Amino acid sequence: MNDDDASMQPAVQLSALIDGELSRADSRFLLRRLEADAALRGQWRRWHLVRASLRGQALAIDRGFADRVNAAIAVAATPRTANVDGVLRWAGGLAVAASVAFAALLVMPGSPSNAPPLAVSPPTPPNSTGQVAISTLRESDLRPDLTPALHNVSEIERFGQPLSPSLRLDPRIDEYLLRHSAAAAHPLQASFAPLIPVAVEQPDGVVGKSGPSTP
Amino acid sequence: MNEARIGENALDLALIERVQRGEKRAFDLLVTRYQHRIIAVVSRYVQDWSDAQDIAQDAFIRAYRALANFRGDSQFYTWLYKIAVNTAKNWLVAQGRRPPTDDIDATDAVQYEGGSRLRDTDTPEHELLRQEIERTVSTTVKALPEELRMAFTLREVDGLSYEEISETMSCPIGTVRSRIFRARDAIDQKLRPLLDN
Repeated sequence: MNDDDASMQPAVQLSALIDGELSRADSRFLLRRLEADAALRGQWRRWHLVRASLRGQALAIDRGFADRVNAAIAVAATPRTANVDGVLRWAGGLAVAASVAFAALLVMPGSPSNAPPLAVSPPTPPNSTGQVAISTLRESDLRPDLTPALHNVSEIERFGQPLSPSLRLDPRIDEYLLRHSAAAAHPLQASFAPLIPVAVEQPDGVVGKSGPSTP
Repeated sequence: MNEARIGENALDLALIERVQRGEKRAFDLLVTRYQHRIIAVVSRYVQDWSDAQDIAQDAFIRAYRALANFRGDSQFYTWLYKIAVNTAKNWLVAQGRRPPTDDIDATDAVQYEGGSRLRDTDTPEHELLRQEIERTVSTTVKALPEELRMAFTLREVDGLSYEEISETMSCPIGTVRSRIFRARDAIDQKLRPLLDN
């Protein structure tokens, strides 16, 4: 018989595959074919049964065993690799940064249309080797004007709801927002969701932070 | 062309990658590949056939859910073996029974997997079929031509690679591959009617 894997019939290839003796390239093709070819899968199953028999192992001869496992996993989520999770976490972190920046804009006085447009560099993929994007946000952009009353009628009309009279913004809020504007501008920042301090309202009405929290 | 062979461990990894890409049928291939060994492992903890099957199924389901955490730094079977042992122990604890304290390391498990006899308390028909399968395989192997039988048993019983069999039998690897396939095919011709019925 020819040594060339490509000239072998699928069944001969399958015999070599279950022994780990097929080439990598042909293995890829055959695995793809296996998933669509019920006859080949039947051979796979029977040949492993023969192996078990020769090795004196308990024989799961009932096709129902594999069928029951398949039924259970059919409704389960696909077990994703860590790489995919990393991308999702990066995207989640970016979404959090965007929402924090948007929330900061909401407490700024004046119509958003009158404010100078904020130029934010577009995010780059996490595996990019490009340079760090420089944020064009200025500190003054994020510093709210604390002079207007937070619960007068005009503010309610503009924002749709009265702001909490107990919400007196603290210089620590500035620090918090600046840290996150810098983090949002850094494209290679790994998920910083765990690094986001949780801002909580303290008993005296001053908003402070309780420390980093891990989602 | 002597392209590198995939190897059994790399075959498992290739199947796992397909599962992680959403091809659940690839997991079925892993189940049929290891179900017998895992039931044999579980049978060291429980003697009842249907309990052993239930525990083994549970072990595979847990393995599927944990596949995202499998990094390939150990062999897939070793990882699966540990899941099966833990599942069996948890089952015993849930039954109010104490699991055995002497664990057999997964790397030594191969020599202990043979010879386990489960009581088939639910399906005597299955027990009869199992005996018939073993008898058919054994008889067919004994009836094979010498060169086919030798190549096949060196592979399936002794676990030699094709290259090692080639050296042992002083023949090309392609001849080894052909002989092993023909032996499997001959057994399959006898076994298939038994299973189809």
